[in-house]
Amino acid sequence: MNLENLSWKIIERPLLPIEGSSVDAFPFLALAALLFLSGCALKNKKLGLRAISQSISFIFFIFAVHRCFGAIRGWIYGIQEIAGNDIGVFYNLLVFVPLVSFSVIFGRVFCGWVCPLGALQELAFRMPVLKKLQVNLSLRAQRLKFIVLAFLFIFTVFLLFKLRPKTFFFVENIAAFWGLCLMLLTLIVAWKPHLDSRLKKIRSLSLILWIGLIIMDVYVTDPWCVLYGNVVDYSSIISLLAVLVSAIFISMPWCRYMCPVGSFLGKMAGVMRLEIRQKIDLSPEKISQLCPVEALGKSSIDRSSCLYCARCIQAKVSEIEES
Amino acid sequence: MFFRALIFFTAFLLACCSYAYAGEWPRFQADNRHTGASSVNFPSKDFQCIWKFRPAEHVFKYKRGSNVWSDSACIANVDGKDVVFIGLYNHNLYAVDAQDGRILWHFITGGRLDSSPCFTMVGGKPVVYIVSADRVLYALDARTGGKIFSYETLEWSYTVSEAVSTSPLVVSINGRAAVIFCIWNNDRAPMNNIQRGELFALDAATGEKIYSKVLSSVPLNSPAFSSIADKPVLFISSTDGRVFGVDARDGSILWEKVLCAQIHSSVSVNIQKDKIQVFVGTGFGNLYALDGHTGNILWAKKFGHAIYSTIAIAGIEGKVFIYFGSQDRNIYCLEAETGKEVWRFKTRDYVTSSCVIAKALNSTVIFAHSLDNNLYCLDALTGSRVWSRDTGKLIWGYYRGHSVNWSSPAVCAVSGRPLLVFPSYDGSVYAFGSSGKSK
Ligand code: SF4
Ligand code: SF4
Repeated sequence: MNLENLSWKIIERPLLPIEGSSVDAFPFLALAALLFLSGCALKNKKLGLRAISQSISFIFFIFAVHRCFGAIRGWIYGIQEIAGNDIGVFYNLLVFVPLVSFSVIFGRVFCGWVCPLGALQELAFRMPVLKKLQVNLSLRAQRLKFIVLAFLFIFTVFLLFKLRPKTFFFVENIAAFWGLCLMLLTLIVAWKPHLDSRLKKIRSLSLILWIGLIIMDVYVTDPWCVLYGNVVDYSSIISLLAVLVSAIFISMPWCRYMCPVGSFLGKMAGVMRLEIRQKIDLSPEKISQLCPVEALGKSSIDRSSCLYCARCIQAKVSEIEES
Repeated sequence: MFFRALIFFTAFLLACCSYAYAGEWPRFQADNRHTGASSVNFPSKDFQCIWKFRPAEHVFKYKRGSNVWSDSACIANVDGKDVVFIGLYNHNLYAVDAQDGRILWHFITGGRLDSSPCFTMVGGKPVVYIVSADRVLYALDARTGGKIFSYETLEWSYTVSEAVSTSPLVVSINGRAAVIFCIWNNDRAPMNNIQRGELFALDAATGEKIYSKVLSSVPLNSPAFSSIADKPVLFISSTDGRVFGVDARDGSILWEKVLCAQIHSSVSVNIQKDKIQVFVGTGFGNLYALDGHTGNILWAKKFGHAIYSTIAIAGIEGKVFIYFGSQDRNIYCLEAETGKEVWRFKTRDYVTSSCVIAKALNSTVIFAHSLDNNLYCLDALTGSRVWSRDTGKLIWGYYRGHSVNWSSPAVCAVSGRPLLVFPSYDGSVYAFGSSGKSK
C-alpha cells in the first residue's frame, strides 16, 4: 500500500449538498451543534462531557468527512468571493462563521472542547512512555531532553530538504516552515523554560504573517490539512510531525506559540461572553501542572492564551462567569 | 427510411466536423473526447528544441483566477501550411508557423485567453475559435486572423468580472455545424447579480445562437462530446463537483452526478463497443470512471492529492490505459476497465497539466509536464523515463495553488515531420522534434 492510496474517510460524498453541488452543509451543522452543546456543557459545568465532545469531533472530522479547516484562509477567500460565487462563499465561511459566533457566546470552546489538533497534542503529551522526557526533570535529564529535541529538529530539516519540491520552495512549504519554527521555539523553551511567556507573543506575529501571505494570494497549508483533507501534502505532513514531536516535550506547543486560528480567537477574548476567572493564587509549579498552556497566572488568567479546557475549574481554581 | 437517412447524414456530418488528418491537433486534448492521443510517430527518442517562440517581453502581473499563463496549443494545416494557434495571458491569439516558429498573425481580444483555441473547416473555410475572458467567443479566419464573427455572452457593465472560459469544440447538431463552449459570467451588481456557468451552442458559420443552458452558478470545464446510441451527448464537469451528460441537440440534461469535491479536470470519454466510460478527477484526489449512459460510478480510486489534469486515453496492445497527473507529484497509468494501477512516475512537484500520447520509434510514449519545470517523455507501458527537458521557471514569483491548470503539450506532424509543442510558463513556446537518429 502506497502513502498516496491511503484513504481513511468514511463519507466521501456530500450528505447535505448545497444547490446540488459537492459542497456539504453537514460538517457546518455538525460543527455548530458540537460548539453549541460544548458551550452549554461548559456553562452548566458538565465538564465530564469534554472528553466525549473531543472524541466525537476527532472521529467525525478526521475519519468521517473531508472538510478543510483553514478558517483564516477561509474568511479571506470567502470575502473575496462575495457576489461572485455564492457556493464558494458558503464553502469558505463554513468553518469561520460558527467558530467566531460561538466563540463570542461561549468563549474558546472550539479550542478546549472540539479542535481535533488540540486533542491530538493533548494525547501526545500524555503518552505514558514519553512522560520521562517532560517536566520537572533533573538538570541532566533536562540536557538530554534538549539533545533529543535538537536531533529531531535536525532530522525534520533533513526531511524537509529531502521532500522539498523542486520549485516554489517557499510558497509550497509554508506549513513546514511554521512547523520548524515551532520546533525551534520548543528547543529554546527546553533550554530556558522561563522564556515561555515571552515566546507566546510570537503567536500574534504568526497570525499577521499568515494573513499577509493569504492576502498576497499564497495558498498556505496547515499541519491539519493532511488529517482533515486526507491528502499527501508533504509540507503539511512535515508540519504535523513537527507539532506532534514538540507536543511530546511541551504541552500543546502549537496552541501556545504558533496557531493562527488560536491567536485569532485569543484576540477576541475581550468580546467573549463566557469568561473563566481565576479565584485562587497559584505557585508557578502548580500552574504548569494544572494548565496545559500555562495561561493561569499568579492571580489571574491570560485570556488570550486560555483554551477553555476547564481543567482549572475542575480543580476549583477558577470559576466560569458570564460577562 | 427518412429517419435512417437523417441519422446517416448526421453521423456523416459529425465525422466531417471531427475530421482532422492524423498530424493535426485541432483542439484541446486532440479531439472531441479529450483523449490527448495522436498517432504521430517520432523517428527517434532523442528530442531537440527546433524553435522557440517568445511572444511578449512585457510580463503581466499574476492575477488570481488566471488558469494558465498560456493555454494549450492547437495545431492545424491551413492551406498547406502547418500553423500553431496559441492564446496568451496577454490577451493575444497568435498564429505561428509550425516550421520555424515565425509569427504569421495575431489577434487581440479584450481579455486573457485561458482556454485552448479550436480549429475546424466550415464551408471550406479554415476557422479558428477562441473564448476570451472578455466574455466573447471569436471566430477568426485561420489564414489571416480576420474576424468572421464574435458572440458576446454577457453585455459589458461596470460591475462585470472577467469570465472563466473553456475550450470550444465543433459538432453537428441536427445537420448543422455548431460551435459548443462553456463560459462562466459574473456581474457583481447587488441588484442584478449574475453568476452563471452556461453552455452555448452557436451556428459555426454565422455565430447565430442555437441554444444556451445554465448548468451551474460556478465555472464549468471544457465540454467533451460523443454519440450515445445515435444521440449526440456533451459531457461537462463543473467546478462545484458535478458532472453532466447533456443532449447536444437542445442542451437538456440527460443525467447529473454529484461527486466528492470540486472539479477542475475536464471530462474525457472512452468508447469500447457499447460501453462508454467518462473519466474525471477531483480536488479530493479521487478518480472516477462514470457510465456515459447514466452517470453511475463504474469505479473510483483515491490518490494522494487533487487531480486537476484531464485524463488521457490510449489503446495499446489491445488494452485501454488512462494517464494523468496529480498534485501528489506522480504521473499515473491505470487500466481503463478496472482502475488497476499499472505504473506511477514520481516527479518533484505537482503535476496539474494533462498528459498527451504519441509514438516514438513505434512504441507508445506519453508527454507530461510537472511543476518541477520538466517536460517528461515516459514509456506508456512501463513508465520509465525516455527523455526529459527543463522548460524554464515560472515568470511569476508565485501563484495561488488549487486555482491553476497549467498548459499541456500538443503533438502534430509538420510536413510529415513530428513536432511536440509546449507553451511553458517561462514565457516561451517550445517546439521539439526528434532527429531521426535514435540514441
Ligand atoms: S489553538 Fe489552534 S490548534 Fe490549538 S486548540 Fe485552538 S484551534 Fe486547535
Ligand atoms: S486557564 Fe488553563 S486550565 Fe484553565 S481553562 Fe484556560 S487553558 Fe484550561
